[in-house]
Amino acid sequence: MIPRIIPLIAAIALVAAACSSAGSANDTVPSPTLTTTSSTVANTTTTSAPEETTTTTAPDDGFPVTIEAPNGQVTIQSKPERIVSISPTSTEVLFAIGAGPQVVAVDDQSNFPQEAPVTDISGFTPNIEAIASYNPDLVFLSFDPGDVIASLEAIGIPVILHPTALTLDDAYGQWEQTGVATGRIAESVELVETTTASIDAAVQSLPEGAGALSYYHELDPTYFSVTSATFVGNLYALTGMTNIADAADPDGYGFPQLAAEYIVDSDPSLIYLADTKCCGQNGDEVAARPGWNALSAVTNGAVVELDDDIASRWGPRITDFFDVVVASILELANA
Amino acid sequence: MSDVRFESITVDYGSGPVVSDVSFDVTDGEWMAVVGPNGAGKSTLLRTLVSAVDHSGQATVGGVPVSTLRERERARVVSYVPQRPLYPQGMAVFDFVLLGRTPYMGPLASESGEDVALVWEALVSLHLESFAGRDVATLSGGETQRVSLARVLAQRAPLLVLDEATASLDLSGQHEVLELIDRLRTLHGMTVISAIHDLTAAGQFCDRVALLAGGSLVQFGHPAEVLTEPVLQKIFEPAIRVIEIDGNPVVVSLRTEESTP
Amino acid sequence: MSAGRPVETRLHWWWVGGAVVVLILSVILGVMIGAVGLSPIGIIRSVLDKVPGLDVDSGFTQRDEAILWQIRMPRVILAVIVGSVLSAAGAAYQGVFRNPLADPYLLGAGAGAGLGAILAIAYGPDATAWIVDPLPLAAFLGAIGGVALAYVLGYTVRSGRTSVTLILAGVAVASFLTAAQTFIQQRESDTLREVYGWILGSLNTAGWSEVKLVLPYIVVSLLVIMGSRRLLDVLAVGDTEASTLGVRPGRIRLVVVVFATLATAAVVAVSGLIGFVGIIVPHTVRLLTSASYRIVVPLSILLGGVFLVFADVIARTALAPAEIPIGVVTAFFGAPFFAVVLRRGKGVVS
Repeated sequence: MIPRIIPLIAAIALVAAACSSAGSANDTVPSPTLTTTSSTVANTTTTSAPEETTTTTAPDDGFPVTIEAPNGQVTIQSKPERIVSISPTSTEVLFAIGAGPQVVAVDDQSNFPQEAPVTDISGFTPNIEAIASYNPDLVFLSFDPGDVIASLEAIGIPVILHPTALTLDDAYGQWEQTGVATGRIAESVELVETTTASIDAAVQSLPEGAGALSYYHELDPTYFSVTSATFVGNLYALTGMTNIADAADPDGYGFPQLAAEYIVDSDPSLIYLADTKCCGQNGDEVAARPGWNALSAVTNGAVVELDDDIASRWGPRITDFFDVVVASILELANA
Repeated sequence: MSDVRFESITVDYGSGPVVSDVSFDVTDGEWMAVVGPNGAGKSTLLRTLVSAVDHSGQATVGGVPVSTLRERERARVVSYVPQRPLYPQGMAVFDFVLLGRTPYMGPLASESGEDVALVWEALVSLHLESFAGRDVATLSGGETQRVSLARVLAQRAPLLVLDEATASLDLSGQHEVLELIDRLRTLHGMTVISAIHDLTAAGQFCDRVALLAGGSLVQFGHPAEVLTEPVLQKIFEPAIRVIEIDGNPVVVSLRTEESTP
Repeated sequence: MSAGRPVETRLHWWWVGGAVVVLILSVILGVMIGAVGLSPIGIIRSVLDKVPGLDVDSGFTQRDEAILWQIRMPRVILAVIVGSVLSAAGAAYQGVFRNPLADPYLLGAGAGAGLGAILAIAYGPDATAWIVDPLPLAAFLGAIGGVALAYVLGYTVRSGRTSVTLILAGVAVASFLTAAQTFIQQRESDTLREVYGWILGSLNTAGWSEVKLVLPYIVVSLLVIMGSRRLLDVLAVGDTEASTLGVRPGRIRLVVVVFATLATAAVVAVSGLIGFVGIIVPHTVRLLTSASYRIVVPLSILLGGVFLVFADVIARTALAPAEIPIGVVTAFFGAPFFAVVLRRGKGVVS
């Protein structure tokens, strides 16, 4: 029937929109602009949380502050104590830099850390009134479905948009900006430095010949993958491995669906499954796929089950993700 | 045997009876006309013979109540042409007429040689041989009437039920079709019951006439008995006149001084 | 008084033969082409090697053999099956409902399958937890449930169980089930990608197990639909006249719908909702040959397979090694193709 074409087109548009908003090339986050002296930045062995929560209203606690977020200039008058986060990554960052006590509500997908105050605000279709009912003084989003930002700003709530990062520097920039916005500058800088150190150490531990390996990162059981033009692809790239999906994505859109026979033919050295939680995939399932049992990754036990969430966010747990990747390479090398 | 008996037929859809306690007989081989004003219940009465309406009372054919017959058995006994038959686009005349053989073919069977022969015979009888491959939906009114008659002829049922067989035809077309029906009737010994608007034609072609009005049978008998001015003026309108030409009642509606506004 | 062109009444043997030849050629083409370049000679040798008694070396690696026999071959076979079924079901639905816009999803089979799918994806157990994969099972049951619901609704209508009543009931049911599916999708927003991927249809994960799974349903249903083709022609004159010819339109409709839905549910379970095929193929056959179901049904079965094999070839090679969802291909390439047939065909549509 003719009307059936319409949902088809809508479906295509939605998939395209979801994919493009989730990872194609986007603006790099500019470094935050501070209007006060940032003497605390140099102080990297930092200050424990209790010291920060005793807020004085002295002007040098960093507020008011104006930052250049990806959604424009955002001015925060005083240290926010009622933060609402509609972005799982921002939630993780907030808690990692000690701003947890300042957070009053997070969206239904923010499942880490445990102590985050989860509500049923939807990350995909956020309800303005639901957000406003928490009386927030700052809101974090990772994308803007339908002018949520404009609506919140119209009622005087400052909003920071931190979309999917493309490179590590993008992510670090967002973390530091989060620190500035919440009065946790020192903690955010420390987070960046420990993360950098961890990743560097992991890269150092890679065996020679890691660069000769190839990998396939699976987003769902119909063989959607990520290329090197995505955040997680950039992380993988630090190991020097080749991504078999790159050949399938000449336009750099980032999330191609691969033909089954191409994956088998490419015979990736390692297979990473990011669809373990959503879709129940694991090593046995992969081995049972038609024609896949002959793959070297299957015979070598190099099918790695990732945590879907960790593999899709750009927050502090990227070190966990990266450690798993490096460990799998080492295990393969020593096998 | 295809004599028909209507016994106290009443049809009520819920807002009053459309046919009310109608009873009469049709003898084997005769042509019975069912006449009456619009809405008198003629079509509904005829449809009881093909089990197309729920009714109380009994309609029997050859002594067997129609409602007790399985559809295939009934289709071999009663054939029917509705007021507005459907002529599907893209269906060949041959295939349309072949549908008349459906009651003789098992659900998974195809047509036999005998079926095909009977179809050709029907086409020839109605001078439709050259139309066999034509799309039924492209034919004229007169041609489609003949095609419908060919189908019921192929069906070889002893009772033929026609609902306004000449509705969309001009004068000569009408006459032609009625002559055809009469010829087929005598040739194959069929009993015919037909609803007719044209009272004069009913008088000329039919053996007897059943006059319905408001769902009830108000007059029944030979044309000369039913097609009279007292009867028709009461049922139809005061302007009806019946004159006799060559012994046939001719019914006309004349404009009079009183009937002009 | 129009001089119409003669209408075809017979299923000419050369039509059937021609369609079979085209089908075989398209299968061969489908097996030869793929994202991975396998040499045609090697493929032929590999096929010959399977013949008992012959021992031919194809020159392929074990991996290439796996690609050919475990991935590409079942995928092409499944494309033939899915295309045949959707076309046969579409023709059958068009026949019993006397509606040229009818497709296999008319009575809510598609919407029901979609709802089943989202329920399985959002709330179902992991694929590994059960013996059978819950997603195809849920889609299958959902498709059948949707049609059953439409029938129950249609049968409760006082004014009669006509084909129009059923269609309207199907529209109501399909709309409701689609709304339910959308609602759940929005609430469980992390399932969006997986659900839309499934809805647009894909043969990318096809293997012999999927073929074996659907085959029994397909064979039985196609036999029933083929057997009913003469009765579909009888239904063309409308329910009233058809019953005066000695058939029971309501019962024919029920039987045909049951088997057409069974087959549709089975293929939807393994391939998702592939649209357009069920309407386009029967109409193309009508435009090129005849409106009689004795011709439309068998030719739709054969050419439906051809159409989907070609669509699948395009889906997996146009942007190789990336895949295009096959539902996009059938609409994108099917529509202009059908426009050409519409303009140049000599037959009629309904």
